[in-house]
Amino acid sequence: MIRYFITRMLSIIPVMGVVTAVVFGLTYLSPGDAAVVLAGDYASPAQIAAIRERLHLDAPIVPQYFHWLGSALRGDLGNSIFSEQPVLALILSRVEPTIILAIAATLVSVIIAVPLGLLAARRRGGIADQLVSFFGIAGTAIPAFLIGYLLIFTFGVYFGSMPISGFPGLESGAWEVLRHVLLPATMLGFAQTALITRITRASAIEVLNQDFIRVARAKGLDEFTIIMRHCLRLIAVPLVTIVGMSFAYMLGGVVITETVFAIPGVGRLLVDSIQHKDVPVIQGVLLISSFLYVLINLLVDLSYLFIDPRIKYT
Amino acid sequence: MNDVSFEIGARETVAVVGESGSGKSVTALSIMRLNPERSSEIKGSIKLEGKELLTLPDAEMRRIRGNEIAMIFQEPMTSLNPVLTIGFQIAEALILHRGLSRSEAEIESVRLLDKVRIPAAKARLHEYPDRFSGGMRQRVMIAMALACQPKLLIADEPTTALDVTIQAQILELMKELQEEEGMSVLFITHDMGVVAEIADRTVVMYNGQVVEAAPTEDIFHSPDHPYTRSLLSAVPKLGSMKGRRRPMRFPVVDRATGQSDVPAEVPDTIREPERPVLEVAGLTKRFEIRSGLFSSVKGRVYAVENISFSVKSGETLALVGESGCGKSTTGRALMRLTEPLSGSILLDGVDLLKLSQSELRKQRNRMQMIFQDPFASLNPRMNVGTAIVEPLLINNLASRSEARDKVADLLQRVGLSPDMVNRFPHEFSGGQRQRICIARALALEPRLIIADEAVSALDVSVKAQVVNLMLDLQARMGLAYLFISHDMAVVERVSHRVAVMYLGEIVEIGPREAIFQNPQHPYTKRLLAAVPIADPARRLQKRPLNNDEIKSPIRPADYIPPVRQYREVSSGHAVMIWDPEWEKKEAPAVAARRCC
Repeated sequence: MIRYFITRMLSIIPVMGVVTAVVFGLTYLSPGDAAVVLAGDYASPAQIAAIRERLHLDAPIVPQYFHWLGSALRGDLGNSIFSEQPVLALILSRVEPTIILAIAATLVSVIIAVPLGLLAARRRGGIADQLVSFFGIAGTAIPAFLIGYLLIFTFGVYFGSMPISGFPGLESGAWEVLRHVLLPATMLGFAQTALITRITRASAIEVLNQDFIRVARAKGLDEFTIIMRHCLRLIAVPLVTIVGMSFAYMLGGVVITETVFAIPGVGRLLVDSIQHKDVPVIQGVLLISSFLYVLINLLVDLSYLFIDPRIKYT
Repeated sequence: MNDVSFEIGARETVAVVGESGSGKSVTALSIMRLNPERSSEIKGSIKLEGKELLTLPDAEMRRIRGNEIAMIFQEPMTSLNPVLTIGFQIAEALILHRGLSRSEAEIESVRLLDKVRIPAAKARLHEYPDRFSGGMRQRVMIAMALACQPKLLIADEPTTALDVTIQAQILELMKELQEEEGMSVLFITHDMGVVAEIADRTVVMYNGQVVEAAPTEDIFHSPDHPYTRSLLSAVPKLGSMKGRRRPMRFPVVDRATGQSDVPAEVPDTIREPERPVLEVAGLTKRFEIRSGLFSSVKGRVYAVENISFSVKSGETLALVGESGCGKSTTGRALMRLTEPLSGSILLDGVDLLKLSQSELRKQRNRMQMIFQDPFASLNPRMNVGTAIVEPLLINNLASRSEARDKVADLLQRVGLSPDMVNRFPHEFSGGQRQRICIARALALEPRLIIADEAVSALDVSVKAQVVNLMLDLQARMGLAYLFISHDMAVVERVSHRVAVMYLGEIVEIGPREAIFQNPQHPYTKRLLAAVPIADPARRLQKRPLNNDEIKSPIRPADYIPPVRQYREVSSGHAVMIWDPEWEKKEAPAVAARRCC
């Protein structure tokens, strides 16, 4: 098992190799001189020359890539063209709201979706099931920004009870953070909720039809115990997979939610950088979010070992 | 299900017997009130020691389930939760009904596992079900059912999914446990042999109704109802073929009147002087088990190991053995559906293993296969006529109009009406579908048919009809059969010669009478002793309990198979000279018999 862990850890290396190569290649996707691209539209010839020298842009492309990779591994992702701040510092300053939002949205969706899915599976074909299925389809079909503005209108404007924009930062206390994060988390979690509900329902229906569930009933267990003990753990594998993937996706920054609620997160940073053609920042965001995505997928894979004793890797 | 009434006395075993769809499982689930809530309705009265169960509130009913009435089911492989340890699954009922603490429940679980004779019970408590074989899982199920010392145990086909030697172990175990615990048992089965082994009284169900209920001896010796008579006449009885050389048809009983015809021995169909249709020599098939970083070979399944036999025209050779013995792999290897490792397969003198793919396809016409599951082996979207002519058209052996005539003829031969050509498989019963599969196999006028458990999934009366059909076809067309089966009683009825397989090897081969009347190899003896016999007089006999599991043919990568020697017992009857370990294995069984 230890060997499996190590093998899987090492398997990140080739994946990240491909990711870094693609991200590095972005510089060359735009037409023209790489130094001009990196320096931005308003750079003077002297600035362009300085960049060319600093990044060894005269060298052939392969050594250039390794030079770039070397600095990236040391935490040097270059400087933003727009703000001239180091890229890493820029990203770190935006990470807090994105992480909090991703965690909150995941919690909201799991807390709502799993019980709903189980309920629908238990009362398969009944009214509850039909409502849940309708919600499952609607949640996927309705655009997220519509939900966002509905939430703002209802809780922010009509009831006036919730803040509708900005993010105060952890130093302002848990209560403030919670108040600010609840509406965007609900909006962000909405589509995830629908997806997770559908997966929970489908998996639970499959498990509840198994012979061992009938055996559990013949033992005299009540339905609640049967679902909690005999069913939940078996549907955990598909659940963890889908929750892990959506969490990893949200860590990459959620542009629409951050825009609707004016939250200074990674998503906004990415959009702004694209608008400013701020190539080093774009590269930095892509690199870090890809790495997190790969890492979380690995954690999900490893978690199977603890969830299902039948899964054994050698 | 309609108007079913019966009683079970204290410490009594009542068998409910019937064919599929007769309502026997529904009866069992109704007693536990475990039928699907929405789609079923129970009326009438179900009383446990005078207490009415049907009107109990749900919470009260839960207190009965697993406590006063326990149940074991047919499929041990899927009846245990794969992500919970077996110890936990047994302890669950103990904690729930007897209010034990976790540690007390654990001690009690070990006692229960000991009781169902699971070796090293304490060590195995924390293992997950995937480490247990089917027979062992059924023991765990029984331990679970016995946890709260129920007054009534309902066993719904508890041995149907098990191999015959394992079935014998479980039946014996259940008999002993019933005596120890003093509980009543409701035993649901389709197998009259099992009924005879276990039941005090028998309830025969047909079409959702009870047609006859009486003490088991009476049911077997003087059945009243025509259906019971037809059911019993279709049951193959081991040993009933003593003194007969050739196979025999099953008697056909009219379900309405109970009148039976007298079955005749089939005519002599074997063409002795001719060269055998099929000659197999040294056939070997191994499957590699790979794992690890570079998928290196970690072991091999020795599925079929150096087997040789031949089948003459008009002859039936039965290949018998338990799961994992390699009998189905042999059938598939003969067709080259799975590529053998070595050996030779001569079909009318042509070595199939030396042929190219296109030549092989031509040869396959002469050798056809019928499979176990007639539901899965017909395309549900293809009508029966198309399914039967497909082999003819693919091989350009007939024009469309010739093919149409041929289908009509084939359907008639297998006892179906020619106007059924446009129907689809779902419109037919299981037995009819197997007839269609036979018609399809016959379309190419093969010399040899490989029947892989072809009648195993069929109800007993349907099984008798299909076997009769196969015997008739053999007499009329001179077909050779390779009859692959685990069912010794059917094999005794249909075959001329028998080969017994164990762990990929043929341990004994010879004329049917020699194998059944004078078995030599310890495994053949054990296999024959395990077959339940439809004779209630045997019920009170005690047989030794043993715990042997069927061994696995998986060997380490560096395994070298031993060179086997065969000894000729009589003309054509050869037995493998067995390892001394077989002798050791028989010894404790004898000791157990003495102590009983």
